[in-house]
Amino acid sequence: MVEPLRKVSKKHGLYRRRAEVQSLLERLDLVEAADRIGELVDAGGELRANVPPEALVHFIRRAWREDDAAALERLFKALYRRVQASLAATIPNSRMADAESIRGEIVSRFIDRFARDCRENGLWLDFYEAQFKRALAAFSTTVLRSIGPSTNKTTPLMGDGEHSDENELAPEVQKAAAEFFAEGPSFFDDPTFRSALGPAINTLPPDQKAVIGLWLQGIPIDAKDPNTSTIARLLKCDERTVRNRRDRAFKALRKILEEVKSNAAK
Amino acid sequence: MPPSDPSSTEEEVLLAFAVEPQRDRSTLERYLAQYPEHTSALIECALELMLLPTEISPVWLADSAIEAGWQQFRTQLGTRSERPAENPFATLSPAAFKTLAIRLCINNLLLLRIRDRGIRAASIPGAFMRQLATELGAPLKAVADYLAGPPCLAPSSAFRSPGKPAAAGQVDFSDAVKTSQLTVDQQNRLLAMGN
Repeated sequence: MVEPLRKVSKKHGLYRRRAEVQSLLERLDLVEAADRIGELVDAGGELRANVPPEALVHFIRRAWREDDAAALERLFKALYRRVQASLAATIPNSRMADAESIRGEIVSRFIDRFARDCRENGLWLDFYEAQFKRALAAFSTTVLRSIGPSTNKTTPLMGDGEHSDENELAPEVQKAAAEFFAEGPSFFDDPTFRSALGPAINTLPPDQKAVIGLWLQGIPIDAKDPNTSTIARLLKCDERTVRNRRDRAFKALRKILEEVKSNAAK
Repeated sequence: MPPSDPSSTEEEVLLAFAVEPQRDRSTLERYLAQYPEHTSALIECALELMLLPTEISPVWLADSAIEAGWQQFRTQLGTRSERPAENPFATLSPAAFKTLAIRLCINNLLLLRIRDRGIRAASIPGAFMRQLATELGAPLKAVADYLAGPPCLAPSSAFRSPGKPAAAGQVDFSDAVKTSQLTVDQQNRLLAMGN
C-alpha cells in the first residue's frame, strides 16, 4: 500500500501526488525491493529517464523507514545526481559569478533538510513528492535570497544615476522596448524564445526583474479600480517608475537576445 | 494551497506556492495578498518557476562528490541506535494517541489492543504495519519488533483488577478488527489490507 501524503492544508485538504506518480508508486509497490531499485535507477546510477524524481523521494523515505541501507544509498545517490543536474540547469555558471559555490550551498542545505525530515518523520518532503522540480526551485529561491547572488555577470545597461526611475527614458529605449515586446507576454509560449529569455532575465537588476516577473504573470502596471492588483501597488511605487523599469528591462533583454540570435546564426 | 499559519516562514510559503496545482495570476495574487511580508520572495519564486527548463540533462559528477553528498546525508540521518527502538508508543500523550487513531482511520480501542500487543504481530497486514510506523515516526523494523513481543498489561490494569492482573491472550488482526466496535467501512478497509 502506498501511503498518502500527510501534509494538510485547512483550505484544500491533503496534498496529493500527480496521477502518473501515484500510479507508478502503486505499480512499484508490488515489485520486489531489489527489482524496484533497478526500475528507478540505471546501471550508471542515474534516475531513469521515464521516472519522475517524486518517486525517488518516496522510496528514499521508505528505505529509511524500513531500514534498507543498500536501497537508501543507491537511491539517495541517484537523487543527488538529479538535484545537481537540476541546479546546473537553473543556476548555470553564466547566470552569476559564483554560481558553482551557490549551487554547492543549495545542495548542502537540501541534504541537511532532507535528512532532518526523514529523521523526524516530517512533512517537508511531501512537497517534493507532490512536485519535485517546482519544490526544488522554491527551495533554491529561498537559499538564493539568503546567500546571494552577489553579482550578475552582465552589467545592467543603466544604473541609478542619470537614468533613475523617476526620469523619463530616452525615446530610443522606449521605442526598442515597444518593438521587441509589442505582442505582450504571449511571446513566452515560444520555447526557443523562452529558453533564451530565462538566462537573460536572470541578469537583470532585482527591481527590473520584479517588474518583468509580475508583467509576465499578466498583472497590469496600473488600474483605476482600487481593488485590482497592479505592479505599481504590489511594488509600492508609482506607475511611471514601473514603466521605466519595464522599458529598461526590455531594452537590456533585447540587447542580450539579439546577441543570442546573432550567435545562433553564425 | 496556502499554509494557514500566518507566521509561516518564507520557505514554507514558497514551497506551498510552488506546488499549487493552479499556476496562474490569480494564485500569485492570492499569495501576495495573504503574505505581503513575502512579496519580493513570491515574485522571485514565480519568475523562477516560469523559467524552469522543461528538460534536465544529466551532468558529469566526480564519484568523490557523490560520495561526499552521501556521507553528509548519512551523518545527518544519524544511526539507528540514536532513535527510540523500544516501545514506539511510549512517548505519545493521550491527545497524540487519539490523533494517531484518527490518522490510521481506526478507533482508540483497536489502537489500544495493538499497543498492548493483544494482536499477533504476524497477522497484522504489512500495509497497516507500514502505515503505523510512518505515523509513529519510527522505523518499520522497530515497530514490528515491538509488536512481536508478548502481550502486556495496559498501564491502568493493575488498579482495576480485583486479583493479580494478567495479560490477555493474543488474537489475530482480523478478529480484533471485527470485535473492536469499528464501523463497517473501517472493518472492510482494514480487512482488505490483509488480502
